[in-house]
Amino acid sequence: MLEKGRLSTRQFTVLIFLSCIGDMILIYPSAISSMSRQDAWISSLLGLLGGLLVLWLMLHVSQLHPDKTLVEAIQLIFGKWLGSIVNLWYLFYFFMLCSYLVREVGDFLTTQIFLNTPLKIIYLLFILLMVYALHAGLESIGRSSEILLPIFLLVAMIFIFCLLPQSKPENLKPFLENGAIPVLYGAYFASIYPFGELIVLLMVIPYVKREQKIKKDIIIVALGAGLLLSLIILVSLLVLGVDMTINNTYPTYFLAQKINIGNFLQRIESTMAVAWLISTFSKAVICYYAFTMGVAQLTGLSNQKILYFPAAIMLFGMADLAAPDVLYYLKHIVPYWMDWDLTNAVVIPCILWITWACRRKWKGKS
Amino acid sequence: MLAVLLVLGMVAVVAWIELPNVFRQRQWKEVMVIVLMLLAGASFSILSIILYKIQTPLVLIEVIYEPVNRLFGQWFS
Amino acid sequence: MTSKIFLTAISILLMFTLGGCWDRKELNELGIAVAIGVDTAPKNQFKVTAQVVVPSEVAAGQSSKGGTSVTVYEEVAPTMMEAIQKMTEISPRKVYLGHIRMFVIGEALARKGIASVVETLVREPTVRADFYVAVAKEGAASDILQVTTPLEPIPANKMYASLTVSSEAWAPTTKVTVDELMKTLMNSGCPVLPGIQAVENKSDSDKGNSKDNIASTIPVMDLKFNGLGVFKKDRLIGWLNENESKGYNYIQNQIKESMEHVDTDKGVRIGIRTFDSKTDVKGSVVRGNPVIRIHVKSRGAIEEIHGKSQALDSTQSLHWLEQQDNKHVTELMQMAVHSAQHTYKADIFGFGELIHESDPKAWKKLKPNWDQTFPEVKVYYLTQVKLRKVGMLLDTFQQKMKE
Repeated sequence: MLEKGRLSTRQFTVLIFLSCIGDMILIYPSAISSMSRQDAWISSLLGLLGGLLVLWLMLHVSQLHPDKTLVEAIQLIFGKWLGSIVNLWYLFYFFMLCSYLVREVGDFLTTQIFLNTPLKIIYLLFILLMVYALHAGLESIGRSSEILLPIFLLVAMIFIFCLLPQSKPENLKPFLENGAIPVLYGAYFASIYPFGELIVLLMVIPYVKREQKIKKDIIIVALGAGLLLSLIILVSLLVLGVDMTINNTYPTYFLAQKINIGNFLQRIESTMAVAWLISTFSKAVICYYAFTMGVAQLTGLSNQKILYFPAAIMLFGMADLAAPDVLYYLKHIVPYWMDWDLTNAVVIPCILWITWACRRKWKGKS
Repeated sequence: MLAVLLVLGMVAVVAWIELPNVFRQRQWKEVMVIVLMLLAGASFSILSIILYKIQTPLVLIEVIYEPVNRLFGQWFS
Repeated sequence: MTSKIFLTAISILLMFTLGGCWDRKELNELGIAVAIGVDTAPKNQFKVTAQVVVPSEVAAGQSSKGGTSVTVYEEVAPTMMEAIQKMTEISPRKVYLGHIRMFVIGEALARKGIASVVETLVREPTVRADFYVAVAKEGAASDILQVTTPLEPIPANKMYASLTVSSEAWAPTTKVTVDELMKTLMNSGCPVLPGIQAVENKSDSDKGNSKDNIASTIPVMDLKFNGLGVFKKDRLIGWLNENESKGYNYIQNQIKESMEHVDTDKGVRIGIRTFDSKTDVKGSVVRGNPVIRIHVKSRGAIEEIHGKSQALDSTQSLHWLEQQDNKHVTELMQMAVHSAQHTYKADIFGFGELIHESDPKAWKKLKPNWDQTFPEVKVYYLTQVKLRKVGMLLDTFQQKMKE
C-alpha cells in the first residue's frame, strides 16, 4: 500500500460533492443550454438520474477489488500487458483532466478578475498550492475539504437566494419547444460530464475507512451535487434567459454581478469566485493525486511523494498546451470530450466487470 | 529566453530536491521515472514558451472519436 | 535541511508573484467614469464621451476646490474601446468603466444602429450590467453629459436616480439595463429606450456645463427624461409621446405608482393616484389569428378635485369615477398599441414573445411574417381600478362654498 493515510467516510463524501461540482459551475450552464435551450433544467434533472447510474456502476466496479485502486485493479483483471496499455490510457486521461482544470482556472481568473496577469503566474500559484496540499497528505486534504465545504455552501446559497427575486418565470416557457430529443441529448451530456469524471475517485476509494453505508452515502451526496448544479442552471435561465446563458462565456459570474439586495449587498462577484475556486481546486487535487498514484503503481515505485514536483512541472507546461484558446474547450472539443468521458467512466468499467466475472467463472470451473 | 532559463532552473531545483534521496537509496526505477517526468515537463513548458502555435494532444482524442460521432449522428438524425 | 531549502525557495517564488501584481490599480491611477456617451463621428468612427468623477470635489470632509465635481473627456476613434484608451491623451488617469451608471447614445447613432455598441458593453469584462441606457433626444450624448445638476454633485447619479424613481412613480419613462436591452434585441428586435434631453431654462446655454449652472435657484440647463424611443431592429425610428409612453408602461407592468386624471363631462377634473398596479398580458392564437388580452388591476385613491359640480358622497359616485378611470387607462394603452401597430409597425411590447411562449407551433408559422401580421393583432383590454380611499377629506368642500 503506497498510501498510509485514511479518509473518514464523511471526508470522502465531501470530496465527492466538491469534485462532482468541480469546474462545472463555470461551463455547465452554457454547455447544456446550447443543446436544450430553455429546457436545460429538465435535461439537468434527467441527467442527474443518468449520472447516478454511472456512479453506481463505478462504485460497483471499485468493489470488485475493494482494497485496490483502479490502476491496480486493471492490472489484476486485464493482465500485465493489456492492463498496462489501459492504464496508460487512464493516466493520460487523468493528466489531461488535471491540466484542463488548471487551464480553466487560469482562463477564468484572467478573463474576469486579473485582466493583465499572464496565465503562467496563475498556473504557478495554483499548482504550488496543489503540491503543498498533496505533500501534507491525503488526510489533510480530507480535513481541509471538510472545512472548505461550509464556505462553498454559504456562497452557493447566497448566490441562489439573492438572485431569486430577479427571476422571470416566463423565461422558461415554452416548455419542450423543440420536442424531447434535444432535452435527452442535454440529459446525456448532464449525466456524463459531471459524473463521468468522478472515475478519479476510484483511485482514492481504497483509502477510505470501511463502513457499511458508504455506497448509500455516496449516492446521496452525488444527488445533492447534481441538484445544486440543476439549481444553478435554473437560476441562470430564470434570471438571464436562454440566449444570454448560451452566449455568455461565464454565465454564473455574470449572474453574480447582478446580485443587488437593497443597494447594500452588491458587487460581491469576486467573493463568489472563491466558491468556484474551492470546488475546482478540490477536483484538481484529486486528479493530481490520481495521476501520481497511478504512475507510481504502474511502474511499481515504493513512494509516490517524489513524483509530485516533476508532475507539477509537467502540468505547468501542459496547461498551456492543452487548448489553443478558450473557444476550443468551451465549444469545439465538448462532443469528443464527452465520448472520452463515456469510454472511461462507463465502457471500460463495464468491460472490467465482465472480464472479472468471466475470470471468476473460469477459475471456479478449473 | 529568460522564461526558458527559468523553466530549466525550476527543473534543476526539483531535481536537486528529489534526486539525492533516491540516489542514496539506490532505487533506480524511481530515478528513471523522475528523470522521465522531468524531461517531459521541461519539454512541455519549453514548447509552450517558445512555440507560438502548437497542436494539443487532444487531437488524438478527436481523431479517435470522430468516426464514432459521425456514426451516432447518422443513427439519430 | 531539505525542508528549509524547500521553504526558502517557495517564499522567494511567492514573493515574485505576490509582490509585483500585474493587475494592481491604485485608486489614484483610475479615472472612475460614471457615465459614458457615444455619438457618431465622421469617417465611420465613434465619438465617446466619459464623465469622470473628480474625487476631491465629492469627498466628504474635504473642502471643495471650487471646480465642478465631474470632468468630461471626449475622444474620436474607430471603435469604442479604442476611444476609451485614447482618452489617456487628455486624461492623467486611465478611464475605468466598472462603475458607470448611465450610458447615453446620441440620436444620430441610435438611428444608425446600436447593436454593435451594446455587444461591446456586454463583452467587455470590466463593465458590469447594472447601468441604465438612454438615448439623447434630438442631440448628442456629449452635450447631455456636460450638464451639471443641483441636488446631486455627480450628474450621472442624478440621471440614474431620476430614471429609477420616475419609472416607478411617474409612468412615461422606463429603465432598461444593458443585458435586458440585449435580450430584447435578440428576441423581438424592438426595444424601447428612454429619451433624455438637456432643457434650457434661460438663454445662457454656454453656462450649462459649469458651476454657474447651479448657482441660481433655476439652473440654466436641466436634464429631463422625456418620452420613449421606439427601435426597430436596433435602429431608432421614432418617439412615443407622454400618453403613449404611459400606456406602454401600463402594458409592460412597470408602473408601481402613478397619477392619473379624469375629465368628467360636467367639466370637473379629478386627480387619482394609482397604487399597486399589476398588468397581466396573455397571448393566444384563435383560429390562426393572434389575440392579446391585457388585464390591468390597480388600486387608486382620490387626490384632487377641481370643480364644484361633482359630489363625492356615495359609493355610486366612486363607482362611476372608477369606470371613468378604467376608460382613461384603457385609452392610454390603446394609444400606445395603435402607435406601435400603425405608426411604427414595431412590436415593442413583446407580443410575439408571448405568442411564442403560449403556442410555439403557431408561432413557427407566424414568425416569418410577424412584421406584417403585427398591425392586425387584436388586443382586448380589461381595466379594473378600485377606488377605495379618498384622502383626508370625505366630501368636496368646493360645492359647499358660499358664493
